[in-house]
Amino acid sequence: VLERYRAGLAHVPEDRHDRALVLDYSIQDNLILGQQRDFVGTLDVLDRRRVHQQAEKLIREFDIRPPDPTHQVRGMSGGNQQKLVVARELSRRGLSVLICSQPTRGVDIGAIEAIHRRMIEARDRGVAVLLLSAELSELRDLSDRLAVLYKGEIVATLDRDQLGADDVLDKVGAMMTGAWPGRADGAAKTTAEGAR
Amino acid sequence: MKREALTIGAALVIAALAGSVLIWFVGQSPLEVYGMMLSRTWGTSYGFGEVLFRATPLILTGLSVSVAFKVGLFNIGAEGQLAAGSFVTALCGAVLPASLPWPLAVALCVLAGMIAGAGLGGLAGVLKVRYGAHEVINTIMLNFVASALILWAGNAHFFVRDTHTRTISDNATLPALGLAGSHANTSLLLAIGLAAAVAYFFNRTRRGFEWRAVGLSPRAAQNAGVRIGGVIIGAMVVSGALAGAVGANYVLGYKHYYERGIGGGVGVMGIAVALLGRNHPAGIIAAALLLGTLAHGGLAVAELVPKEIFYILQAVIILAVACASVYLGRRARASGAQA
Repeated sequence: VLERYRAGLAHVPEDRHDRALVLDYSIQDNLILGQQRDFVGTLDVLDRRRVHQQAEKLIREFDIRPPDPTHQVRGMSGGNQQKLVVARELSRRGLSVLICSQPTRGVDIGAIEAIHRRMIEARDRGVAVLLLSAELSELRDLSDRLAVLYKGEIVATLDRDQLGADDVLDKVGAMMTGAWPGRADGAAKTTAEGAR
Repeated sequence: MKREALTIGAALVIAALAGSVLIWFVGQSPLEVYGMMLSRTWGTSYGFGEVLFRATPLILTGLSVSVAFKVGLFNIGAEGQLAAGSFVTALCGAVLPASLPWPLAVALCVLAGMIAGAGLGGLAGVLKVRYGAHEVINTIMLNFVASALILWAGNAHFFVRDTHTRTISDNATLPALGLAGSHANTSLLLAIGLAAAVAYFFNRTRRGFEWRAVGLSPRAAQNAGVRIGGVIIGAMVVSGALAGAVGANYVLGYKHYYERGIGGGVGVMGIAVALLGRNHPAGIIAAALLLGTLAHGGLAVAELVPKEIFYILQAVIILAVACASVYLGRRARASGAQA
């Protein structure tokens, strides 16, 4: 896992409680989780001042609430927890690829918008963003390129201009169920790619 | 933090009330018995010294259990780890040349004991990580292995009289604290020092940060680049080493030799200490003092009530605190669930 992070990969996991957060840790501790090695001083001692500064900076940038770095993450709203995860992943040094899996699941509308904006900003900075989602409108709005998977295979790839069509969501939905290319069973998953 | 202390305090009061009923049942006045227990433990310097002497190994085994707890492991093996540690400490003390300066001699003996305990704990950790054997089973079984191995090795090679090893050389002994001839000795300082070290490790260092994360949420820790297997083995090594340091109290500070059964039961009581102290080093010191008070207090009031009453009281305290812990855990989750 460490090697992947060193290679510039960042990852917003599908289930933030299971994989992304230590719920009993404070906001600042969760904000350095996975980057704890970047915040040590001599003898492997954590540099609390820097951890605190980083937390205050990210809380401000991403409007995480409550804005108290020592607040326990367990008591936060789902939207703010997710903003925390996105903030942390985007703050990785040497970031080049960001994988977001269902980044807006169970998140309130305000936070959804903030998270979307951040993903677009990351793309504009030259980060390759891979978004996996079951939210078709989210995929349409954000993607530069959209690949539809059915039974582990890419059945179609749509570009930006194709995604503008009115009935595109119905088509994608149909392809996900296998109905579009002529097959007719099982569930599927979509993948969108915002590569640049 | 404050609610924790209050809840634990309430549990202790309930336990004391239950103890009162028992004392009343054997026909004595609870107030008189508790009063006598306090005056004969904390009231005299000898009694206080005995409390400290009994608390010292409990601090160490409590820390041992708590370090394992923090990363989500249950070390039941402090009993065997402290036996192995004490045995090796005694052997080391017996073979050291008398010309060695004392700080070096003491340090070597303590270190030898800690390494022995660490080896036993680490073995349980490796068995878990490598073969998936549960650490509870591993540590219990290694307790038997350790005690049988010590008995065999002692009988075959080292026991000079009955089940004693040779007396350690003078330069390896730890001086008494000088509390009216009580057995309290300077290993208490070692125990407090180790407690501070454990607190510092968990709160301030990068590894402590990762270890706590493993205990609270192993999958998130793994996602954060922590190697869980390594942490498990490391925690068992540290846990074993802390239990192995118990030899400093009994061997270097008190008997000056290893005797079969030395420190028996202290390993198991370490679980209670860790529970009572909520895995916090300062809490562990307080819990060790409390249980040390009861252990010596039970003897001190033996003329009024059978000392078994105090064993029961210890058990009732542990049960009360265990219930309080569950209650606290539920409260913590409930306050988080509103999100």
